[in-house]
Order: sequence, then structure tokens, then C-alpha cells
Amino acid sequence: MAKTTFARPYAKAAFSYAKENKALVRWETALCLASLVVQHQEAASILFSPTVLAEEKIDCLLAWINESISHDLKHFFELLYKNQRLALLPWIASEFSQMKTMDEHIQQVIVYSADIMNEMQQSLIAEKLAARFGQAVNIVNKIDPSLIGGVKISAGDWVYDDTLKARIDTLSRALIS
Amino acid sequence: MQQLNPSEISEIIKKRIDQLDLKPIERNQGTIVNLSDGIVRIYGLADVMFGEMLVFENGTYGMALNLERDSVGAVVLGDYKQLSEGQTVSCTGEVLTVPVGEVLLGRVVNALSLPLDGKGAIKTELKSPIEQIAPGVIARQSVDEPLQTGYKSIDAMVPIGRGQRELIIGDRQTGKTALAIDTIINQKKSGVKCIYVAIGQKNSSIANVVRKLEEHDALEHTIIVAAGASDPAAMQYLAAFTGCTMGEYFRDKGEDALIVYDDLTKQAWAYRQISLLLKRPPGREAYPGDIFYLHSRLLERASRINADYVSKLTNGKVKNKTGSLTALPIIETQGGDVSAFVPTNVISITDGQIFLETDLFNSGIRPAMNAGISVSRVGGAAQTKIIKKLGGGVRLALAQYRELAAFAQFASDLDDITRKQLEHGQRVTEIMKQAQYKPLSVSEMALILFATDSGALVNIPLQDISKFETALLEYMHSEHSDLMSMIDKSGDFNQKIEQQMTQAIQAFSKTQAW
Repeated sequence: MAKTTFARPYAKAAFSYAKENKALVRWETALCLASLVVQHQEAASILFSPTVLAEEKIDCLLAWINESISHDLKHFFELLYKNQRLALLPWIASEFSQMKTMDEHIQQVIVYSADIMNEMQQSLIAEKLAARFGQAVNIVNKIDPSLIGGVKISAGDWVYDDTLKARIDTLSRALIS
Repeated sequence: MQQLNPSEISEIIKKRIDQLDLKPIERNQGTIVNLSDGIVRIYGLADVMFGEMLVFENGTYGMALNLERDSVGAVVLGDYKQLSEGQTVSCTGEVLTVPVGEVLLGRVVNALSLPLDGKGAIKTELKSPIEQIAPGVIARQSVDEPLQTGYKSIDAMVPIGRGQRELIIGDRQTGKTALAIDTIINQKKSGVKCIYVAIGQKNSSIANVVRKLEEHDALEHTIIVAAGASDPAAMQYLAAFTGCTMGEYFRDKGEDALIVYDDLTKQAWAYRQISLLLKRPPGREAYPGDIFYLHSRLLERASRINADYVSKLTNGKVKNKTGSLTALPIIETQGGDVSAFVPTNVISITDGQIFLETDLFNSGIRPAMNAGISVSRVGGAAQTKIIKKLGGGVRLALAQYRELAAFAQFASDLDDITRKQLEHGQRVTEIMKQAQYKPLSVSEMALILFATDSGALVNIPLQDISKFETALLEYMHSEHSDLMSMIDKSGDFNQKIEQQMTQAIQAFSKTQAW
């Protein structure tokens, strides 16, 4: 939570720059890769080692993510390094992705179900949700057998729960109270 | 013990299943990221409102208090030991509401209006949010009806009107609660509904209050909202607002209600604890910046509202009736320091204060009110005519007595006038003493004040004043009950009443029955 707060200004600046320069996809890919790199144990041991020079670290990072041409990303990583915020890259990447989907007017939705949903079911849900949110939705289906039946839809903080598990919980609460 | 009937239980279960609403649940959800001392920090809950009730996984409720960009700070209203980081929290879409209504009279409830007295569930459909905006200027009416405390000294010198806010302030053990409880007991026949909010007190003290009210048949018209010292700080902070909401129900339907906050110092402490744990910046004495607003918004809700507003609130069901909520907040000072932060705040908010002093209490003057610095800013307009007329001299006599008594300590022989004034002052001080749980009616008070004023006490030895008073009241009740009931009914004072009273006192004095 606090990390998101620190990451937000960087993500906002990066997003604004990438949008102006029509390089959103390139930046998103680079940030995603960089976030994976800083989370990798061996890569982190080099990136956060006091014995390695700053320039070498940035070069390594750029090489790992196949970014050797563009100067803008190099400057961005240098700035992060200078401010000792390289470790925030996963949060910056996540904030960046969120801003990108918001900008594209696509709502990320996770649909939990007890069994795998077929394409027709998914498209039916996507249609209803698109009408509700007033924008296109991108559905990811996750399987959770503990739900027993029905679906639980989650979009950001909003949750729609119509599972058997939720009904049983409601029933048990009503009987106990 | 009542026998359990198996079929009855099955019926209950059947009924509950029958009434069950199994609609899909739509909610706003967040995750607990931090939990300490009854305060939770939640990630998510993008649509949460300030003061909204939250529900945790185990069914415990919470209240959102800090709305920040990435997190929500909330207080847990109950046991927080069952909660842990990573659990989900959902919005309920409702700000904190509590049940209100007549069914609460005679009950002891907690800050969430759940029963504590073992008398079963509170069955009411009526609910009201605990945070409400006080009535505006147009809805109000001036205070012009008295609220009798039953204490001679208070009703004569510091009269309280219906809809007024009168602070009771003093050190520990000076009789603050006793004064408030006696006022509640005195409302037995007046039709005023009472709410006693106990904040941060020992449970034994609360039980004592309940027992005393029961003994004096005063629990029937009283609601007790208890948030004891062992309850979470959030409950102690909310109890005052819960009580106020219950009182407002009576006010808004054109009735009169009285609320006692015992005491607001402890509520301020509880609020300070919550604020500091929520990491709000501390100010003077480590209280948060909105500590004044905490008390001002609470006490502003005590008011008198006009008949039009009552009619509007009740959709025309109640007409030509005004409603009032009188507040008696209590503040406990430390070593008589009234210039501390919270006492000065509450003094400035209220319409007057009753100062109770340890020295007076220890010298046997009870109620231990300091008549010099106790004031009522609006009550004078609401005072009963007869008490206003007869009680006027008391304050003056006491003021002159205090001045002379200080001076007389250094003078060996005094002239006649000074000596007489001193003696009169001593008698007035003596007659103003009153035992606990013995509230007086208007006629009784008027008679005693008249006797003092007319010089009937001049020849009574100081130590016999109290006996004289008791005997006089007994005599009047047996011989002149019609005069007493007439004064109680009308509250007027005229030549005829004066004559009758003079004759009655003279006749009593001749009997030498004390």
C-alpha cells in the first residue's frame, strides 16, 4: 500500500511520457520485464550490490530486458536508481498497466467459478458487464472448487457474489444470529 | 427456568429459512493490511463513505474513519482479536445506525444499542443514523420551559430550561453523577424521557446507577447507554452519539427529553486514543484538531424545536407541540483546573455551567455548587414564576455573605448590620443544603425560599434549620395540601398566595414542632 503510494508518481510520469510519444506498449513491456528482473534473486544480487558501479547496473538491466536503443528508458531507470527506488519496479509496472487499461477503457474482470467456463458463458458475462460498466471488459476465468457452484465476479474493489458458498454462508449466519 | 420446546425451535428455524433473502451479494471489498489496537488499515474499498459501517469476515462490524488515497483507516466495533491481515472487509452501504424508540425505555444498552441487561432483544423497526446534523436556526424555538432538577440551589440560582445545555463540572468525588441522577429521578412525573450515557466508567458504578434508578422507579422513563472502561475506545467514543440519537427521536416527535453524558472527558480521551492510532496529527494535550468539533456537533443537537418543524418531521401527525432535548454534559477536572483544554472547550459550547467544588463538598455543603461562578445563560427565561420571584434574593445573600465572611475573619467586633447579614448568609447556605435522592417539588422549593426570604429562619438555631425545613414541609403537606398542589400546577405567585403562605408559616412557627 505504501509502496503503491511511492510508485504512483513514477508510474504517472512514465505513462504520461509514453502516451505523448506513442510508446505505451514498448514502455509497458519494458516495465513488466524490468519488474520481473528486480524480483529475480540473482539479478537482484547484482542490481542491489554495493560493489557494482551504477552505470554497469543500468546497462545490465537494459541488456536483460533487451532495451539498448532508447535513451528515455535508460534515463528513467537511472532516475529510479538515483532515488533508490529500483525495488519499486513491480509496483510501478502494475500502476502503469492499470493506467493503460483505464486509458483504453477496458475493465479488467476476474470471474471465479467452480468449473471451467466455456466461451459462450464468458461472452454472455462479458456482454452484461460491458453494459454495466459502460466499457469493454477483459475477462480472466479462475477456478475455485470451494465455491461449489455459481460465479463470483471481481472488478477492482467491486465484487458480485452469486455462488452457492455465499448462499450457504448467508444461511448459516441467519440461523446462528 | 423456561423449558425449551423442540417444535418451537424447529418453527424458529423454519421461519428464519423462510424469511431468508438469498439474492446475489454485490459489495465493495477490501483487504486488511494492518491491524493494531482495534484500528485496521484496509486496502481497497474504493467507494466507502466516511462513517460507513464495514463488515469483517467473522461478522464483526467496523466504522470507516480515515479515507486516504490508497487505504482506509477504520475502528473495529467489537472483538478485534479474531481478525488478521489478509482478511477481506466489505462495505455495507450504510452509515452507522442504531435502533430508536419507546421500546428502549427501561433498558441498558451498549453503544451499538445491543442489550446488556438480559431482558431480551430490542424489537423495533425504527432506526436512525448516529451522526446527524443539528436543527437549523429556522427550526428552533427559544428556551422558555423549565426543567426542574429538584435541587433548591440549582432551580433557584442556576435554572435549566428544556433544550438547554448545562455543563456539570468538578473534580472527582464532588457529586456530579449524583446531581445528574437526581435530575433524572425528578423527571418521574414530568413526562421527560431521560437518557443516561455512561462513558468509561467502572461497570460496578454503572450497575449502581441502574439499581438506584430502579429503586426510585425512574428506570421506566430512562434509557442507559453504557460504554464501560473495559469496552473498546471506539465504543466509548460512539456511546455519546448513540444516546443523542435516541434522545432526538423523542425531541422530533414533539416530546421533551433529557440526556446526561457522564462524562465527556473520558469520551475525549477515547477519541484521542483512536485519533493517535489512526495517525492523525496531535495538537494541544495530544488531542486531535477536531476535538472541539467532536463536542460542539454533539451538544448542538440538544435543542428546542418549534411546532412547525415537529409537524414537518412527523408528517403532520403531531401538531402544536414543540420538542426538546436538554443536555447535561459532565466534565471531570483534575485538581480544579478548569483552564485545561477540554473543560474550556465544553464551557464555551454550553449555555452555562454548574461548578462543584471539593472544599464545599468536604465542608458539608451538598450539592457542592459554587454559586459565585455557576451560571445559566438561558435558563432565567424558563424559570417558574414563583421560583424566579422568591429565589432572586438567594444569590445576592450568598454573594454578600461570601464577601463579608472573608472580611469578618480579620475583624473582632462587627456592627449589627454586618452581623445580621452574616447570620442570614449562614442560614441561606444551610437551607440550600439538600440530601441525595430527595428532589423537591416547585411548591416545596417556593415555600422554603419564601420562609428564608420572609425572615422565618431568623430565630432558628443554625443546627436546627434542616429539622425546621423537614417539619415545615410535612406540616404543609398535611394541613395545606391544596395550596401546595395549586402552586405546583400553576407556578404563579400573587398576593393571595403570599398571604396564604405567610399565614401557614406563622401557624407552623407557633407549633414549635421541629
